[in-house]
Amino acid sequence: MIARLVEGVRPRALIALAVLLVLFVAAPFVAGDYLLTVLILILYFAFAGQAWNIMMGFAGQLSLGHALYVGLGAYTAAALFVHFGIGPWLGLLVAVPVAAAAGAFIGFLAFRFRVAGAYFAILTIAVAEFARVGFEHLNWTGATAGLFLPVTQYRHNDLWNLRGHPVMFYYILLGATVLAFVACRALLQSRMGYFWLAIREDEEAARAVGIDTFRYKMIAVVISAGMTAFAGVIFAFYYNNLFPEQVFNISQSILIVLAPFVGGLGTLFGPILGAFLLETIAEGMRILLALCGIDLPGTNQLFFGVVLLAVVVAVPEGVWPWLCSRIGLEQKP
Amino acid sequence: MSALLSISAVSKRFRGLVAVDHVSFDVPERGIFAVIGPNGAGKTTLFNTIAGVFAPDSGAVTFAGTRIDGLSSDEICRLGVGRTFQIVRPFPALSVEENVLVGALLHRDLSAARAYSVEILRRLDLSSKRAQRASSLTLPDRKRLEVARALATNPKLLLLDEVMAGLRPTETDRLVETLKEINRESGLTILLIEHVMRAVMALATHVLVMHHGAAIAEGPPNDVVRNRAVIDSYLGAEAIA
Repeated sequence: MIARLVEGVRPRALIALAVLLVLFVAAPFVAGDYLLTVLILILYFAFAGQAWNIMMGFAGQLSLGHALYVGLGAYTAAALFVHFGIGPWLGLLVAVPVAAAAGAFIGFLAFRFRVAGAYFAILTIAVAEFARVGFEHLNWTGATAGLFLPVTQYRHNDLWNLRGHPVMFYYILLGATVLAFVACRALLQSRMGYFWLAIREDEEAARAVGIDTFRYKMIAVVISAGMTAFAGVIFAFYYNNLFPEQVFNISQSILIVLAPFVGGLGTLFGPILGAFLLETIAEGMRILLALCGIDLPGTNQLFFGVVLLAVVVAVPEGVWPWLCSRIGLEQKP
Repeated sequence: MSALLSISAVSKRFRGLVAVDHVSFDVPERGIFAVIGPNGAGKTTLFNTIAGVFAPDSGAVTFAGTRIDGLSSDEICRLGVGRTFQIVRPFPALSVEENVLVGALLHRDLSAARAYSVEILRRLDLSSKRAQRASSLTLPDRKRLEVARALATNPKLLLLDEVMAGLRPTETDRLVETLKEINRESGLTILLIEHVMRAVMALATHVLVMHHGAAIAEGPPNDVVRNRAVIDSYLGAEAIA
């Protein structure tokens, strides 16, 4: 199993990966509270970006509504916890299928009726917005007033109920990101992975070599949605409060898109590198602006805009492929 | 020889235009059947109705005893019909080898598909370019890649849509040789649309001529090129001079 996983990976790359992993595992021991929250955000967006990348980077289906799956995951697990005392790990068993079903619904509508490209992206936004408005009127989950998870002072980390110190969330997200990375690599190198790439490259040509494009696009959406729901569950139990306006907001969807987009669509390292770059630069900007005494709301959004523009112009394939060719690494992964 | 593909009274209209008008013919098993005719004669439309891009308005397409008109193109491919596109459609960001591998994976697992791809690439003289991105290939190489990818799906019937166009005479001869070899060795049936008469004459065992959507002549290549209607509508008088 392990032998198959590392098959075709060069020793140098393996060592680099191991060093990176050790750094991430060791980070909480040296990082303060502030740095830890930044690292948690990086891992969150790396993971969610990896999930989004399966749909867009692998199968070529642009989703601009991944907040839907974050929100459904978050609300399902949180509501089960608040109303029935069902822990998040059991909640996950409901939250993931709920999000996956929503993905299947969108996929079925779109792929059956040949809604593609920009129209598909708009459909994903529309369903996410629909869910936002719906949850704003759903009293069972607190409607616009929000859903709050009980917070008390915990003496120890309760891993089963995900109540405790941010360090616990950090390690959970780290584990999830590593798993997602390994899983995506395995997917990409599978038969289905090649079919996805073919669909991404040219759907009609993919059909002409016998690929059931409907089926494989559906699988991509369902996997991506289910994975994103996990990020949603962590989101709920980390922040302890949920508002439809916040979780289902289109800006959430855009934030998920940014990391893989900046890092490199369809690459395995892109989402991780992209999340790291965006968060560090954003935090750096925040500190810099504070030092300069500038306090303008929206500066960060403006900044994301500039970064995106720079990526599109300078490295349209993303930072990771560019970096690979720079340091003479092979393009993949 | 029994018919592997049977087209009976197939018609296809686009609004007012009748692109294919009651065309019927049989492609015998192991045969190489060419469809020729001037631009706009309806050849590619006929092709697309066979390959499942769209269903014919009337008539029937039967492949290996099964009605395939109305099936989707991926279903038709899985039944054993491979095709190339007139305007080539490689998977641009994938390597040459991966392009072929995607086709080979249809009926194989990953390791068997890899081995088979190597063989197909060698057959079509693409081995030296296997690691290149398909988007970096020259047009003749892309044409060969189209054929390689279609062959990798193990078709019983291969539809070739003007694969010789844009090739130099020596390249044409080489591809003709390769196709003949594959036809001889594996019994692959080939239906091709072609303008390059050099290739048609060298390859085809049977020729159908289309003009304004209708079949105007059919027979062995040497008979067809002497047909008065064919000369008038397509080949021109100098062709037999």
